[in-house]
Amino acid sequence: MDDLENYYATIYFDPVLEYIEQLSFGVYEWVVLFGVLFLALEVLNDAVTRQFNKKSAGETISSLVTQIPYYFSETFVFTGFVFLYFFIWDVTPWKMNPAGEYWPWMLLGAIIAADFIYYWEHRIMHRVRLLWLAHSVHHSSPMINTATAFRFSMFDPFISGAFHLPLVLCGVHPVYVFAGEIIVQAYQFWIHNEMTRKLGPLEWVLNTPSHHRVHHGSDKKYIDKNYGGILIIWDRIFGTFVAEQERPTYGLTTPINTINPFKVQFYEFPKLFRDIAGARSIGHAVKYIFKPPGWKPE
Amino acid sequence: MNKHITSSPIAFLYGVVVILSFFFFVYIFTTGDLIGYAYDYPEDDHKWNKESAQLTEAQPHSPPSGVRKMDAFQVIGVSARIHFSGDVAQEINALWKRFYRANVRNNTDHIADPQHVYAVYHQYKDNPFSVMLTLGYRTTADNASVRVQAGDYQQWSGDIEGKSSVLTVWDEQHINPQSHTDFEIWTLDDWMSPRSMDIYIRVQ
Repeated sequence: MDDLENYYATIYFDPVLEYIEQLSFGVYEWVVLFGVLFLALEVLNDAVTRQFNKKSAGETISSLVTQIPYYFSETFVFTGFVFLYFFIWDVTPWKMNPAGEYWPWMLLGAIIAADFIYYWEHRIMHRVRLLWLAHSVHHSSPMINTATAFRFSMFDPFISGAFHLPLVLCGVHPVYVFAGEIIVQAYQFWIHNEMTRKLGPLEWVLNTPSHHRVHHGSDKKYIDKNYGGILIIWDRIFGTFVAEQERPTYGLTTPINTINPFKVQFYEFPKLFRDIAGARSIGHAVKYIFKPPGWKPE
Repeated sequence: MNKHITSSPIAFLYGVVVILSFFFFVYIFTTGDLIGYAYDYPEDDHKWNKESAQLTEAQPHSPPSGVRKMDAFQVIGVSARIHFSGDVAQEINALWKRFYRANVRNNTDHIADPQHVYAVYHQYKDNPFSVMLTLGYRTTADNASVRVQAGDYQQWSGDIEGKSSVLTVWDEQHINPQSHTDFEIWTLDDWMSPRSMDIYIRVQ
């Protein structure tokens, strides 16, 4: 048997899984690289148009600094979910590709499924106050630029890992799930900016910078809209879509007014604790935790 | 806050970069030409002197623990030719990673001994100076990757950190591996992590 025959005697070797794994992790490194480039151009544009000031610089740095706790949290939590996903995969009796066959369309399916999950995860993060504790970090900047795309809470990885678990339970190989999750997440880096206006027919299908600026708006007509990840069709289907009509007012409805990294990470926590401590019943306390932000007893 | 988004010619450049980055990502998606095989860098546990093809930091072995008579058996798994002119540790490391990702144990029928992974070194060549390495399981299937001959095999204690292997024994014992099909038996735990390894060198 010559070398080539011997190599291909390994008939069960699945290069697709290996490729997808490298693709999904490698793509994130490129995203960071391009993110820096995009941000540099945005800052340059702000400088040329005389919009660059101390406040915008501080907000940008504050957003970037959130990556430090997020990165450490992501490293540990993601590792934990890798073990958990593979453990569940091993014991799951139904597997979509039990023999690890080459199913090229499965990656596309995984991305679409992950995008669908992202929509609901994102929507629930806005509508359940416990999860809003984490997601509010991403929304707390009163401006939007590529740095905002990297503005995360250190608790975000827990939420994302938990929401994608059903895909593994459905029999999707963990590598495909991670790939879908990472690619949807990676897509977000280019839609956080004011440089890109509207993109014509793409606006019908894709989540674009224009749609996502609306999502970051705290204006009454924009609030809790456009939750989509890559596709905006989920918002159109589930009735949460609003087109951008005027420049949104970014940030929280009660502005955070700080760039202190610690306060940015935990801004919503004491507010929730105060509400729970002041609750008149356990039922109210539970509702403070699980009802949407801003909920008050009648 | 300014209610109008103002921009400059930089915005045009930004648009160009966005479009280029889009094509770049399409390119890497379709070609797989990513940053690189981030996982495939060797751990530098031992160094291979590329010029002399000798292990420069080979660890001394404990004495052989005996000779075992073994029946012929077959192994199915992943294979690659290891070139001694290259980075041997990296090549072997990459093959182990392929082995894990291939999930050979779950994806292969007729595995005779799932608790042990066999690393079989065979088809030694002088030109190019190389040997075929197969990582897999004993199998009764017809489509095995390699067949190990029956015979007497000298057993040595191996090192799971990679400091000793069939290659280091060949080197230390001045064995001419020309017609050898020697192997290592790796014992794995339930999480597929190596627990121990033994080296078997055929006694001619």
